[in-house]
Amino acid sequence: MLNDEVLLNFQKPGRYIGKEWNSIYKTYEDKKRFLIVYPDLYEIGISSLAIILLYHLINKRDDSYCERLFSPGLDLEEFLLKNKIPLFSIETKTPINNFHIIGFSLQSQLDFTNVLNILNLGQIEIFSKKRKDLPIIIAGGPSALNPVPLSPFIDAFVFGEGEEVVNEILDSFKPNREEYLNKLNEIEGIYIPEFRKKVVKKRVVWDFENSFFPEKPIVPYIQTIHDRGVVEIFRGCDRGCRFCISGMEKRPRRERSVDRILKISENLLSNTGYEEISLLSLSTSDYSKIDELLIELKERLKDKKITISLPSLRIDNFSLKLLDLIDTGRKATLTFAPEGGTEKIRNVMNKPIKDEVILSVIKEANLKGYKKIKLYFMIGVPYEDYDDISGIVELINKIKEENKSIKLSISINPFIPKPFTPFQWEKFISKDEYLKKIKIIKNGIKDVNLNYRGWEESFIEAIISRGDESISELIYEAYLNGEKFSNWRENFHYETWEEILNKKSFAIVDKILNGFSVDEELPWDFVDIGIEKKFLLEEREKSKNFEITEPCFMDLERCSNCGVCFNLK
Amino acid sequence: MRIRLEYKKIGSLIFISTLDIERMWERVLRRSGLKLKYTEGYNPKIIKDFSPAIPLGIYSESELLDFIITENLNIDSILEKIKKVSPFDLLIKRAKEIDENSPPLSSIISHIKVEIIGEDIKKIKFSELNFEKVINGKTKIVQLNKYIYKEEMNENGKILIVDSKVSLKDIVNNLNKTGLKFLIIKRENYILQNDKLISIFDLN
Repeated sequence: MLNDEVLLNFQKPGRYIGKEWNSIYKTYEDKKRFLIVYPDLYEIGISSLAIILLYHLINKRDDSYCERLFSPGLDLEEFLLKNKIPLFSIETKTPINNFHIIGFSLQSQLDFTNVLNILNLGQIEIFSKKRKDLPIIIAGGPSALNPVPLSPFIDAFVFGEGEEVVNEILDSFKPNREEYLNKLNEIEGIYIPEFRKKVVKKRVVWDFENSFFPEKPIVPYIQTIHDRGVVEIFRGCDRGCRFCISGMEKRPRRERSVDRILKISENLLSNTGYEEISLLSLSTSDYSKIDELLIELKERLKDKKITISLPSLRIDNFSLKLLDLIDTGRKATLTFAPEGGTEKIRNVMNKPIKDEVILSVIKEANLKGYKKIKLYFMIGVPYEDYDDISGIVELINKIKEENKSIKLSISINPFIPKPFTPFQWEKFISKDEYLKKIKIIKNGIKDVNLNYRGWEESFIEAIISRGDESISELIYEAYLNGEKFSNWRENFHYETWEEILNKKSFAIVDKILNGFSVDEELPWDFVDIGIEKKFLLEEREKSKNFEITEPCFMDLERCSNCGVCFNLK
Repeated sequence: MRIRLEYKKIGSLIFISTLDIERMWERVLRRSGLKLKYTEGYNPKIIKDFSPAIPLGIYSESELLDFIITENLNIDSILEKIKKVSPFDLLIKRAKEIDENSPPLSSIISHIKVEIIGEDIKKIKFSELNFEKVINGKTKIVQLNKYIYKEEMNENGKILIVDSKVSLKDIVNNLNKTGLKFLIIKRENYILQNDKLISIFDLN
């Protein structure tokens, strides 16, 4: 075992020390030992609600002990390899190969090489079929929904929400690998590549109102990316933006009551001492009683000097009204995502916002004192032509003209077609086209802070997102060539990936760049997220004609027949 | 009421930087439920004052924190409220009420006592050391002698009482260059009054 003081030699030793407020220490000899892993640095991973929620949920059980692991920094990694010390958990510094179950939470495809790297540092066989014993390696989360590219490395995948299935996983625990895998195979929502079943349904927590929420979460010592309390106010989103995997994957939409949210918020703040609380969801202004909630929350917190923050606001006047409700005088950056430059292309995406609404909201925000505005756009969306790109330029210039005093930031991403969405068959934009379009925008605007994501890392994400089994080789080779932390621009080496892509030809890359046929079977088709393929195809047809589909707001009369409410029950 | 509190930096806390320790205290105090005095402005923070920063890896027997509460409570109940919400390894030694108008800690601490542990450390004569010190961002060589109030050997190594103008960071950097193994424990904060060292905590 590692002496704690050795850790002083590495950057930010607080990443590895644990013992934060609300972290959990138990005896472990007699327990089912679960290691929850976020395959990136501590300061990223500890901010993930999935990690915090599962950690505290598992640790409610007397028969189990859940510890944490994040990717070690490169300096610690080098030290571990040199001294042949296996990677260890945060809480008890136990080598990770001594755990019974290791569960990876996968939030990004560009973390996949980190998964293999962690297994290697933990002295665990990288290929599932070579493992003879425990630990069982499990993966879940949005990026595991197409499990195929990772399937040679993972023993069992979990589709959908974890709150209930994680208890079933622990209940059925067997100390024998084969027996345990057989048991896991009987659980709904679990896919074991070795056994290959036909269709696996995702898990949904139907009683979201009463489901577990961590009211005593870990309070990290070191600065993290989201250094605040979080309350999830509703799950799922029925806006139906056609590019958005979360909008499809997390359906149906389920809300928590105002009472429960208030109770969670008050407990959370007194248990953590956080000075800020964030109301989390995919589209916060869509919460049905958002006014009531904010008024009441503000009232209850008024003497406690707490800031309320609202992420994921839609660009409409209603959102501005909400900001007035929580107004603390502080005017932080306002972030909106129009995504497209013209009404046409926004209709294609089923995010129908009128130009005049965007302009009036920004004008009003400016008058209210919001001087920093950030806007997100995507390039490479189906049916996009050069008018839509000039549309972005015109929109930005109009905003600048009408609001001379604001600081405008523009962030552009290439559109990555994701599985389980109406755009799952579409092509990923070519490099030439992307750069040409970026250039048009760059040349058309001035005095605007323009950021755009590299085509290269987006391309790799695009390949892995809709990858088939052959892509596991791409991931494995990239890992062997030292590729890790690919989400960090400075650590992403396109040459490495490109060389592998050139060396072996991956047939699927052609489809990524040119589109899949609607008639063929897609690698992830066997994962049933409840949404019918028929619905996705209808949405795809509508996008061709710039037609929109209204949100259902969980009202049967407005149902758009996506199927999720009926297929999973 | 202005409260002065003394705590130890040991165990897991030696891995936590000064800025992070300050944020930890913000949250400990908020959790305590005490009625605290905050700064004005958009991002109100608890009004608090700390003894000078110490670098990662240094143990301390005496770290000081001042804060203000807007209610009248006895010291024991204040301590109890804080201890109940303190993380592992945050050991609170004692607290007392001080004058509302007493000057900030950094302006009154004139000397600190440090114990430097290590067999080879005993051989070092700190008073004869040419010492690299960062002054206004520039590294200069100074005679440590004029900053040393007292240098003593004990069974573990050396005990130094130095002017607080010499930071612990300077001491660590200079000792690192010797290649010797050592461990530093900060023992005490002093003020020099009429040629006598008085522990800051004993001041009123």
